[in-house]
Amino acid sequence: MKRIDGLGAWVWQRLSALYLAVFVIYLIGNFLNLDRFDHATWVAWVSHPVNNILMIIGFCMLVVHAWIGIKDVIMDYIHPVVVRAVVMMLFALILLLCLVWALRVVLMV
Amino acid sequence: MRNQKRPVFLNLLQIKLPPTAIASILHRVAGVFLILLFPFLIYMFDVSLQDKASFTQAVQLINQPLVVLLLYGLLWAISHHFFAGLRYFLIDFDVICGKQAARFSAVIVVILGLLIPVLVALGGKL
Repeated sequence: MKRIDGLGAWVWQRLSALYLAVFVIYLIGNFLNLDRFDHATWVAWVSHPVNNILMIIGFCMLVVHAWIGIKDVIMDYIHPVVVRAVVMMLFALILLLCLVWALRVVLMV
Repeated sequence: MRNQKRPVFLNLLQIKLPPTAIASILHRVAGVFLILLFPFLIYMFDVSLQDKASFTQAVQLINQPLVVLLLYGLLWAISHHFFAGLRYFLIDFDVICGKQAARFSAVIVVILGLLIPVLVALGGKL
């Protein structure tokens, strides 16, 4: 069971990394040569169905990637079991709240 | 079952890290930094989308000198994390193998990571 969990995290880390890398390139392609950037352009871009769906998946991928990454870092550097558990829960909570907040913003535009 | 006789030398000022280690630790530093900035970035994202007035507020905020500095840090973190991550993909798929290639690619990653924010600064885009 443990081995499968570890493999799952390994695969998800790379899968989310790939998605985020491509998404960053997509963002640069969309925003690098913009001659005007105002509120209307910004709202139009985020509320466009394609961008909206890409962002919903993107925020989920970002939080998955962040969670796997921070979990590895915490396990490597924080050894006392209780402190480790508390710090992990803290980051889990922050990331979860961030995800809900981000999705709320994307879906309500 | 710890080996009590293993040599321990942890003077951080005297340990000389090879380029591979530098690229690796910076990958972690950048990742943690990005997570810490995440709430602030979503806040900016939220504010910028609300209405015209709050969009203007957001633009004003990201033009504050301290925030500009933070954004350059953010840019470095994304760019380093991106290139270092790409390097790990190339290692996973055996494109980069051997000590020489590992070292060389690590140096390239650190340079590319710094190059992006420098280019943006020179282009005056931020």
